[in-house]
Amino acid sequence: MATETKQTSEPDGVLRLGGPGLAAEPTGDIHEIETDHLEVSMGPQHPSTHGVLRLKVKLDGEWVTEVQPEIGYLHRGVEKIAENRTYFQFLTITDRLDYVAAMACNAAYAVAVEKLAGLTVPPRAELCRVIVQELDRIASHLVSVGTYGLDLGATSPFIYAFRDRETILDLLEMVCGARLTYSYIRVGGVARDLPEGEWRTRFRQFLDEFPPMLDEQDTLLSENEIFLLRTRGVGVLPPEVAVNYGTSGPVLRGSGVAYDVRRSKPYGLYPQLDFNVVTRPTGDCLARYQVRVEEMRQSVKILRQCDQLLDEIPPGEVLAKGARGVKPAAGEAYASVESPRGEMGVYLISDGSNKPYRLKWRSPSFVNLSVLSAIGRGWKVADLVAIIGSIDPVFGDVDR
Amino acid sequence: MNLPITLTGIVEGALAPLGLQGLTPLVVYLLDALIILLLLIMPVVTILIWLLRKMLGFIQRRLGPMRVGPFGVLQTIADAVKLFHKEDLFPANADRVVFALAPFLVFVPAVLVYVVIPFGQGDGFVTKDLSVGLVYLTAVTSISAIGIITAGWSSDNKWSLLGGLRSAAQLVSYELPMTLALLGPPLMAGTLSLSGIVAAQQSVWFVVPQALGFLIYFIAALAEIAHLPFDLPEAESELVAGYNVEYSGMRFGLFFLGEFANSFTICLVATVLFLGGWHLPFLGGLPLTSWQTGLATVATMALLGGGIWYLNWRRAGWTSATRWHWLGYVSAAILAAIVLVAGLVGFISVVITLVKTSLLVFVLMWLRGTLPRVRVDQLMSFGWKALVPLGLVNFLALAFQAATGIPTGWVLNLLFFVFVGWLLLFAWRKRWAYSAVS
Repeated sequence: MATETKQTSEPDGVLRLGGPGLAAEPTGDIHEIETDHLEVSMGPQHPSTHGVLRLKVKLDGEWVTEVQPEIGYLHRGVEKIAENRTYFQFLTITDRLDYVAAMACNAAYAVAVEKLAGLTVPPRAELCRVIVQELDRIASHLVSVGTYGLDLGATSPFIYAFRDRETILDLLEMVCGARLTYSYIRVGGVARDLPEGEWRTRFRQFLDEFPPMLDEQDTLLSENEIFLLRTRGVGVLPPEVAVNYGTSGPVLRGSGVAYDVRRSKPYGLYPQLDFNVVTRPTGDCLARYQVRVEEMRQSVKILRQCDQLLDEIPPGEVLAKGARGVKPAAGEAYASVESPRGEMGVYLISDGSNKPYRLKWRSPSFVNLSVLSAIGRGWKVADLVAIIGSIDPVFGDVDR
Repeated sequence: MNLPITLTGIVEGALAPLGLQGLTPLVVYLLDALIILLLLIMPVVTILIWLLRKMLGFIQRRLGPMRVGPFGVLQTIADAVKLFHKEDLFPANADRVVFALAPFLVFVPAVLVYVVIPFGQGDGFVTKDLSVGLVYLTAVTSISAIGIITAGWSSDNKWSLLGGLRSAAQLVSYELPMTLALLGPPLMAGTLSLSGIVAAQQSVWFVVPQALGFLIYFIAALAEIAHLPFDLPEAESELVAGYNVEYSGMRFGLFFLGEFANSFTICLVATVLFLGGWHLPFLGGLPLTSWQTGLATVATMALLGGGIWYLNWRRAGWTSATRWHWLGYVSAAILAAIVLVAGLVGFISVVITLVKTSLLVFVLMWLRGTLPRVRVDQLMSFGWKALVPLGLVNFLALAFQAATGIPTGWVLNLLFFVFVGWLLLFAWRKRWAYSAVS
């Protein structure tokens, strides 16, 4: 098994990375045989590109010599749409960005508008936000980890992951009536308080039942020798490259950089909560997988604290006054939250009207995906699938 | 077979007035093959696919097919009917002739194998007991590789081509260890006829003195039929569907059926060569006479059917599931009637063979529900660096034993058993340590 990663300096001076296949340049007599590189188009209709990603891949046999992501198949002009909606109206569009973790999108947008307009969120609403965001983080990581098994040919972990995700979706449905496009976190607070009674019981039940279920499901993959063979040492992303490309989230933390927006640029209730920023030093596909699994455990830890806080912070206002017709003064603001995929940031410019003058969405999937052409070279086709899966892009978020 | 009217008799009677008695053996073989295909292989494959989907469903916490027929038994037939309705598409630049033929090159060999398989005791349960049965078997199973490669090539699709290339490398590589492992049983039995090999296992199944060979055969055969964890030629998540990506309709269906027929075949061959065929453990062949066999079968069927129905009824009450209980009784009664009326001595031997095969098929499904896929270089290095040397050592030890009488094969397998035991102990302790931590 080849594990080393090679770095080459190309004529343009750009540092490029790649797997063992870069050494597969033919030498000597083999030049006499006329060979050709096979150019294939992986996607946009492909089971493992997690959406409408198209990769222009150059193959030398099974080796990938070049990989170029082609994006934009799901572009809907969300940033332009924002300019024609009031601050309050645009929120429902944010659900459609990272549709696997819509709560994070809601939160990123809401936090940015609040910063721009100087709104103060009621404490109860902050608590609700943390709870739904962490639940959503677990759900999103479950999708990621489950489909990762699917990418590598194991079908069962996917079903087990979706079993647990279903419980979370049920909980979120009880909160806001939707399973994917929540629009629950609003500018200035949340739509309504968390339900009492049965929801609370099921929430606590989930916190008790989920960790052993996660262990069981993790065992299916991380104790499987074939899974380890396929991921350990594959698609290594060194920390300096990860930082240079601006990656964030599990992709960055898998390379050993402890950057988590919840810690580094704290927002909401997170400074009061006790949790670890999970990192793995190796930077390979296995590390990124392990970071996601461990983050789910950390989210459970956060949710347990929130369960106590639900009794301590009394129910009350959950939406700041004046949030509906918010009209920020002319100016600009950038705020970001830690989505399951990394730093999800919103940059807003206001001209003093009730609509944004300009909105820029910093989507973590887009930035993380850009690293693919750097680390995807020199691996086999099968490894390329493993690398894409470990980057875990969501195309609503990449293409915006 | 002690039927009052034999197939040969009927055919001879029909051909005699035409003066074509000379053709009798040929016609009988053709009819035999047809009967085996229609009455045995097709239903078995159908049930097998259903079973696989059910089993996968249970492994994956689902119900599996439930809608068509009782418990979804007829789902496969519904799928096949659907496939027949589909348009038979040819890609614009495909090599039309090769493209059209490739599915048959995969499906037909999968069926041809059954010609030499002894399903039960006696001549009635094997179409043709060739004296070189094992050679025929290895020869015929290799043909399907050609089908897969040509399918990949002729589709004029880059993904299919990659799938075809992968299968070329994979099937050729794993042919070697598989054949090396298959050489073991004839060395002990002293015959290449499959019936002869089964007969030689009356006292001890070959899986005991040749456990290593059995394991090598089973792993190599998994790769040979492109079953998980070696399903690289059609790796869905990498190559979309590999060699069969351009196929539609029943041509795709033939690949699909051929694949399942193959997974049944390798289990059947493993049963015949290593698991003692129709022999029961510790009994050393069938001690029962004809009517005792019949009675035992009836009793077994009734107990089994009644038991299953009772469990269902206890669990669910009078529901849509238990409403179908009569089907179990009817089929049991029909089977019992066949046994009693025809008085087939060997009938129960067929049941034994099929039960053993089904257990192996279950292992296959279990693997399918559990394992991810290996990478192409890992597949190659495992085949050439592990299986081929092991197969050679195993074969040499067995050959030396057969030639000189010194039990080298037994020694090797004893070592193998010790190794497996140590492995299991290690795994158990690791598991224990893991659960103690978390």
